[in-house]
Amino acid sequence: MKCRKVIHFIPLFAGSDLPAKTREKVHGHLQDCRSCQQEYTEYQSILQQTREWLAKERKDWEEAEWKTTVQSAIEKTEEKRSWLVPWPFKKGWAFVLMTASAILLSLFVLHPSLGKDKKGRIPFVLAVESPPEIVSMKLVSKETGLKINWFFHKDLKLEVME
Amino acid sequence: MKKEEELITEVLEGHHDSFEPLLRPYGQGMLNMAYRMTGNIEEAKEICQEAAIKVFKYLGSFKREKSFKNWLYKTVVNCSYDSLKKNSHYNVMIAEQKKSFFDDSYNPEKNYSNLEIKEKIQNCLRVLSPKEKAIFLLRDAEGFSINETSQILGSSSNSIRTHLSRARQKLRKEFVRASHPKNGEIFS
Repeated sequence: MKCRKVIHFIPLFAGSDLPAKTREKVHGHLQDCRSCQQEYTEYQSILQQTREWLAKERKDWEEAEWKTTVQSAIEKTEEKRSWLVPWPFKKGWAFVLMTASAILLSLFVLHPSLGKDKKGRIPFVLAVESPPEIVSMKLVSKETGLKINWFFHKDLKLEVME
Repeated sequence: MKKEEELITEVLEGHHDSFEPLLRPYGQGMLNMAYRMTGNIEEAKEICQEAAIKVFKYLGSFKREKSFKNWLYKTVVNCSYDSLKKNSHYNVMIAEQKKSFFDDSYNPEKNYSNLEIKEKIQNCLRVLSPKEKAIFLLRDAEGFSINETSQILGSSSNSIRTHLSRARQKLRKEFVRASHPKNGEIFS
């Protein structure tokens, strides 16, 4: 492996981040090349000091602040969820619906005649009208004043009256 | 102490009290990841809360065979990206980066003081792209392996290596640049 290629790998070699094969090749080159070795020593020194500093200088939560952060995350999520639930499935609405259904059901069980007339029929059922048996049409002449009435029976018989 | 798996089951069954112990081992890591991504502690705390909301909301869709820690960090990184976009911190940081500082103490063999390293790392983080920054922090600050980092960010190992290499080159440049400023920079 040539210096130009090795220098490209040194930043990763210094942090032990190269795959085994490449690492071996770079390691072999560094045994013989002083300038690359110097480059490697420099990277290693910088990286080591950086890692040590990053490990040492760490921020931390105050206990109360940490607990508040997590608790408010839970509350905010729950709040959003409750808004997302459609109204019939919200707890309050579900309770009202179930109570109303239970009252209505119990009324029908206790008073089976509720909503029926004296003969036991349900008065509010809509009656379906039968189709008309006769359709009529009147023709009047403007000149003579003659009136003709046409009647169409349901069996398609035509009847004309003057 | 309950296992992570048990805590997840309890939260999903509606025991909200189990959510805090589930996140607790990663609380500090979440905060530091978000803080170093944005450079602002208050913003980092908001990111952590946003991440906690997402984790709580989508815990049901989390695949149990995968690592919860990785999933949690993925959420933190994504929330940090959103925050960076929203607040345009990245552009501001690049502008600030132009205000260079002078340091004549550079020596590869030298052990820098905490303050020097802090300044150099902070300057380096300012010039990294959000993705390079996330990869660099996951690997060199949080100690994730290349494979874990690729799982967290959903990129291939090769892509992670490329970005990591670039980030470390920028880090080194920052160390060198700080010690050998260009002519005229000292007087600007």
